[in-house]
Formats: sequence, structure tokens, C-alpha cells
Amino acid sequence: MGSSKKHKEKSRDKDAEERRREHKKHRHKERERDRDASDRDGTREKRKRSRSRERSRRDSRSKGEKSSGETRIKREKLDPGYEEGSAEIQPQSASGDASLSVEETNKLRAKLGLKPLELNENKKELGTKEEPLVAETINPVLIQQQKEMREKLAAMKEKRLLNQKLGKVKNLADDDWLDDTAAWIERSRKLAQEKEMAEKRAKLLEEMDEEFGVSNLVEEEFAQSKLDSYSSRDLKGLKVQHKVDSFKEGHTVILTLQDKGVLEEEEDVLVNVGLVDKEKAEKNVELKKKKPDYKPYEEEESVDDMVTFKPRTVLSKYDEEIEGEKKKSFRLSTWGFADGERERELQAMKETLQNQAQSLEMPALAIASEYYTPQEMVGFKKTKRRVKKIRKKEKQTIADELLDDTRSSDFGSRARGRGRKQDNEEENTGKGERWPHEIPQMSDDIRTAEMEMSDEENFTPPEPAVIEEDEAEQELQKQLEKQRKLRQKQLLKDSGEKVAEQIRRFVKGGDENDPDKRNNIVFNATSEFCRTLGDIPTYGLSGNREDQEDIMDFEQEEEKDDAGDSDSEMDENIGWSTVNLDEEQNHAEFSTASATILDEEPIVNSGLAAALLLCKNKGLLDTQMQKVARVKATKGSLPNDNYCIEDKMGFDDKYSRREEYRGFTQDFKEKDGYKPDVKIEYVDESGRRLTPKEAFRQLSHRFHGKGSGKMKTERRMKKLEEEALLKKMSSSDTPLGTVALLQEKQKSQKTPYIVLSGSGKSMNANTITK
Amino acid sequence: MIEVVCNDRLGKKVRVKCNSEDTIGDLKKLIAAQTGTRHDKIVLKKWYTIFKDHVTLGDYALAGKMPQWSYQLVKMCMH
Repeated sequence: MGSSKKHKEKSRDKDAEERRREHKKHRHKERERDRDASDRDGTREKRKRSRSRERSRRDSRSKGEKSSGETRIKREKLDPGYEEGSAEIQPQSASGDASLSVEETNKLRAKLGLKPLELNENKKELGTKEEPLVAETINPVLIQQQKEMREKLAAMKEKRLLNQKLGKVKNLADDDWLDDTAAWIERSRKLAQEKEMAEKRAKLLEEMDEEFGVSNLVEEEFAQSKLDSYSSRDLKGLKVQHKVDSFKEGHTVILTLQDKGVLEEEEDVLVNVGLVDKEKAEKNVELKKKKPDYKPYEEEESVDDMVTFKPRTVLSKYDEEIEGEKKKSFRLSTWGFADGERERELQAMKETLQNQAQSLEMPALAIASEYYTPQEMVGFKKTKRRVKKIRKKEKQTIADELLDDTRSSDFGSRARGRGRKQDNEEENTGKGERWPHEIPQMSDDIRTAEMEMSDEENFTPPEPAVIEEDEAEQELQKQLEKQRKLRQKQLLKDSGEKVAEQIRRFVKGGDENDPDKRNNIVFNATSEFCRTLGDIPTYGLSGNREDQEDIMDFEQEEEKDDAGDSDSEMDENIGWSTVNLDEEQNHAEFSTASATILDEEPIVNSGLAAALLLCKNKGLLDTQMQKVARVKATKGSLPNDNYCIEDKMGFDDKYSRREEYRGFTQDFKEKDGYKPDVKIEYVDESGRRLTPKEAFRQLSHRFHGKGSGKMKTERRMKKLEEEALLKKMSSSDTPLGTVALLQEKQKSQKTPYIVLSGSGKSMNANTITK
Repeated sequence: MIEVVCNDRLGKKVRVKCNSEDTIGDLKKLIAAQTGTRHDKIVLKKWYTIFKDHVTLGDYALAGKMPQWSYQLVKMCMH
């Protein structure tokens, strides 16, 4: 072991020495190297120490012969290329690093698939110090020559290629047969022969075609080829670079294909030279106008044709220069037509869009003028005074009302209405004759009802004037009106006098010349009933039947009067035989009563007249008569009031409402005159009449089941007491009765005065207190 | 032709002759052939730059035109 170590050291020293010798020249590196070497030696030593044991055991051969690096490599997994080469070649450089010779490396490289080392590269390119290379001089003349030569060659090549390409084309001048007549003749003959032959062949072929049905196909093909020729049909879709407007109907304009570069792949555009010039001229004129390019206060944004928002671009005036002019163009449709239908459609669309668009522009402010402009004057219309067609309310009299009443149930045709009216007239005129005949056949109730109706038609709610009436109708109406008026006047005049007259009649026993009375016979179901009953002692005393009683009186009187003299009147009374008997009795009584002039107590239970008489005697009749008068008066005056209201209503709304109203009134016709005088009065427990306020309070208390509080009730009671006192208070005395006291005092003292002295208490007490 | 000196500082130091057009990968193979290390285990470094396989030596300026640059010290690591 120790020997081996020694040996190693020796060899190492030798190594170092060698190195030093070798690198004598490179002094500057020497130190470095030394350090390097020592470092390496150190490491090696260490390694050797660690591995020495192994080595000694395993491999004696490797001792001293080989470097440590090699042993280590051997142990490692070896590179295949290395394994082959490593056996023979392991040259060590002076510095101890392995290096291969050029040949060896080349071999190795060949094995690895690399190209061999470039050995003389450096010399070739740059030369060495020993053999400096002269740099090539740059000769411009030579370069020029070379360039020319190259160009020439290229041109020649091109020429050759072109010749090759175009060599097959025959020149016109190349034909020699034109000069030689014989040749020409021969040639033409040949041609003719060929033609004939061709025709023959064609015929033959045609025949064959026909035989096989191919001719049709062929024809079609020919047609196709015909179609292929260029015609106006092919103009479809071609672009014309002018406005449609620039072509006028009936003018022929020749369009040519626009010039363009041969290589430019643009579509063909048709142009008319004249029009192009014209457009140019127009443009020039436009440019000459010198419009201001910059409009600082222009609208910020504008709207284009299709009313789409188009923001203003910056320096829009240069748009045309940058993007090129946009020319208006259109395309031809089939057969080269251009009717501008599309344009028109577009225009229409634009218009509609424009119409739809809402401009936010306000009309420019202008000073308001005081006068209308002529245009405004046209629009200005004088407002026509609307003449209100006020239908004159025909003062409807009773007659009208009568007519209307008849019409009330019938809204049919005019003729029917008229017929009705005539009927009515007849009724009116022939009333006197007809009624009596009819009455007996009917039962009493019905009769009386009818009679009443006939009488009280005066009170039926009047009809609104019929809007359209014939003249004849109007005339008739007028006539009737006149008559009615006359009658009404009489009636009204009479109404006042009636009372007096009646009284007079009662007193006298009645002179009967009043025709109205005769017509105004009223039969009532109740009155008739009463009449048959004969004696009801209280009848007529209540006052609600006064008028009827009254009228009954008249009847009786009439009957009495007319009993003897007129047959017709007698005829009237045909159905009244039984009644007559009664009346005769009455008459007798009446006469006796009148004879004894108020002396006897009249027998009331004998009849109505007796009762009335009694009333009269007692002074009650007077007031009763007044009442009668009042009733009569209301009968006379009411219709007018009613009429007015009704009329208005009738005009206001149409039939529907009126109908409703009438329907209602008709049902209660007999109650028409009945105007209840409703007065609701409330009294408290003490019988005092309550004011509406108080009444309400009472009601409310009763309703809620609780009254007002103690204080309130007390206060109220106090108030009431005071009120009562106030009422009781005599006008001549104070509430405390001082005057009475005074008088009493005076009486007792028998002095015309009393001494008012405030000194004595007793005195005071005397005077004031009782 | 240039000569590259590779040292792994662990006892292996080789001088490898190669062209400047050779890639680092080629160089590694040559080194492997000389040292017996597998070529794919070799990492070549110069200071802290690791040379990449696909780049030629010329591009790494390992091969200069001047003769004194004809060999370079390249640290060789083995893994």
C-alpha cells in the first residue's frame, strides 16, 4: 500500500514537472494552472484514499497504469461510441485532459453521423499571418458588365419561350397562294369540293339523325348556341353609372363600356361620354360656388335618407377625397330595361320614413304679427252665429193635452194619430149626445170611472209637442185650441164667480143656465154608492168629499130644473129612475127647509143636501165653499204648471224617459188631482211641538238607546222653562210681576205712589217679595 | 475546426475538436464518446449559462474567428 502511494506521488510530481515545461511560454497562465493542478491533486488524493481499498482488492492491473478518471469511467455505464474507440485511443493532453486527433475525431464523427471537421477553414477564409490574402477589389465596371449580360440572357430566354409559344400561329403574309392564280383556283376548287362533300355528309348525317331521333337534340343545341350570342338579354345586371333621371323617355343614349385597366378585375360599367362630361361640368360649377367648408354652428348630427342616425364625422368635407367619389348608378334589369321601380320604391320608403321621423326642431321664433296673413285668412272662418232653433213651445191648452193624451198610448203612424184625433173631436163634439146612451149599458162603477176620466183629462200630464206635424194637423190643432181657450177662459172666469153663484143658487133654489155645469157632471163610484144608500148621517162632514157632494147638489138641481122641459135631458136620465125618486124626496125636504128658513133643526140624516144645509147654517159652508173654489182653481191652474215641466223634460231627453214617466202616471190617473200636503210633526212627551233638530235628536236617542247626559238635559229643561215663562209673560208686566205688586202696594197703601227707598231692609222685602 | 475543453472538475477533462457549425448536442455526443459519459446526462455550462442542445457553437460565440478563441473552457456537469 505504502509503495503504491509513493509511486503515485512520484508520477504526480512528474506530471507537474511536465506541465510546467510545457507551459513555459504561457507565463501568465502559469499560476492559475498551478493552483488548478494542486486542487486537482488534492481531490485525487482524497479519492484515491477512499477507493484504495477497493482497488487493492479487485483490480491489481489498473494500479499505476491508468489514471483515476479512466477507472471511474469504466465503472460507469459507458457510451457505446466510447466503448469502441476508447480501447485504442486514449491520448492524454499535456494538461491531463483527454484529446483525440483529427483523424480519430473524424472517425468518431462519422460514426455519430456528423460531417468531418473542416480543417483548413481558417486559412481559406482569412488567411494566416504567414500568407495574408489579398481582398478582392470591387470593380464596378465588371459588375455592370455582368449585370448587362444577365439581362441579355434573360431577354433571350424570354424571346425563345415566346417564339416557342407563338411559333405555331400563321401569319397573313405567310400564305403564298394568294399570289399565285393557279394555286388560288386550285385551292378554291378544293374548298368548293370540300363544301359539297361536307353538305353531302351533313345530309347523310341528318338523315341518320332523323332516323334515330337525334335531330331534335341537335336543334336544341343549335338554339342553345344561338342563345349564347350576346343580346340585350345579357344586359341584365349591368351597371350604368348615371342617375336614372338623366335618361329621358324617348331619347336614345348610347352607352359604352367605361375605360378601365386591362388587368383590373372590375365589373363592366356602362357610361355615356356626354353624360359624363355633363356631370363633370356640374361638379365644377358646384365647386365654383365656394360653399363654406366649415360650418361651426351646424347641427351636430344629421339624419340621412333612411332616417337613420348619422353622426357627423370629423372633417367630413374630405370624405370624398379620401374615399373616392361615390357615383350614383343603377343596374339594368332583364332585357336591358331600367324603369327605376326600385328607385321609386326607395323614394317612397324614404318619404314614409321621413314622415314618421319626428323633428325636434322648433319653428324659428318670429315676432307675432298683429294681422292675419292672407293664408291665415283663408283658414280664418267667421264663426257663424248659430241660430238656435228654438222650437216655439206651443202653448198647449187643454185641448192639446187631450189630444196628447189620446196619443199617449199610441206612437204609431201619423195617419193613425190623425184618425185618433178625429175620433177625439167627435167625442168632444158629440159627447153630450153619446154619453147618455152609453151609460145605461155599463155598470155604475165603470161609468163613473169613465166619466171621471173624461172630466179629468184636463189633468193628465201633458205630452211634449210632437215634433213633426202636418200643416193640416196644425190647423186642426189651432182650431181646437181656439175652442178650448174660449172654454177655458169661461171656466176660469166662472171659477171665481162660481162660489157666489152657487151660494146664490142654494139660497134661491137655483137658476140653472150655466152650460159648464151641465157638462161637468162627475159621477163617482162612492157617490153613487152613497146615493143608493141614501142616508149616511156623517157623510160629507169630513170634508174630503165636498166637491163631489157639491157637484151632486148641482146635479140634483139640474135634474130638478130639466125634469120637465127638455126631452133630451130626460133621455139622459133614463137610467136614473130610481135615483130620481130619492131626489124627489130630497127636493121636497129641501123645499120645506127653505120654507122654514133656519128656524128648525134640519134633519141631517135625510141626505147630503141636508147636511150641507146644516153646515151652511152653521157658517161652515162658507169656508167649505172657499175650499171648493180653491180646489177648482188648482184644477184650472195646475195643468199649466205641469205642462211646463213636462214640456221641458220632453225636450231634454227622448222618448224612453218620457215613456217611463207617462207609464207611471197613467196607472194613477184618478189620483192626478191629489196633491197631499204632507207635514210631519213630532211632539215630545209633554206635547210640545219639536223643531226638526229636536225631532232628530229624539229619534237618534231612541235609535241608539241612550239619551243625552244629565247636564245637557237639565240645561235643556231650563231653557224650555225659560221659553215657557217667556210665553206666559204678559206684555204689560215684567216676568216677576212687579207691576202687579206695585199696584197691589198702591192699593193697600192707598197712595198713587210708592216710596222707593233703598235704606230699609224690611222695606225692600216688602216691596219686592210677596 | 475548433477545440473545446470541457472539465467537470471531478477528474474529467477533455479536449474535443469540432466544427463551429456543430450544435451543442453534437458536442455532447463527442464528449460522451471521449469520456464515456452518456451524452444525455451532460450539461455544459460556461459560468452560469447552460448551453442548449439545438444551438450551434458558433451561435454561442464559443467559436470565434480569432485563433485564440478556438478553444473555450466549458464547465461540464454530469448527472
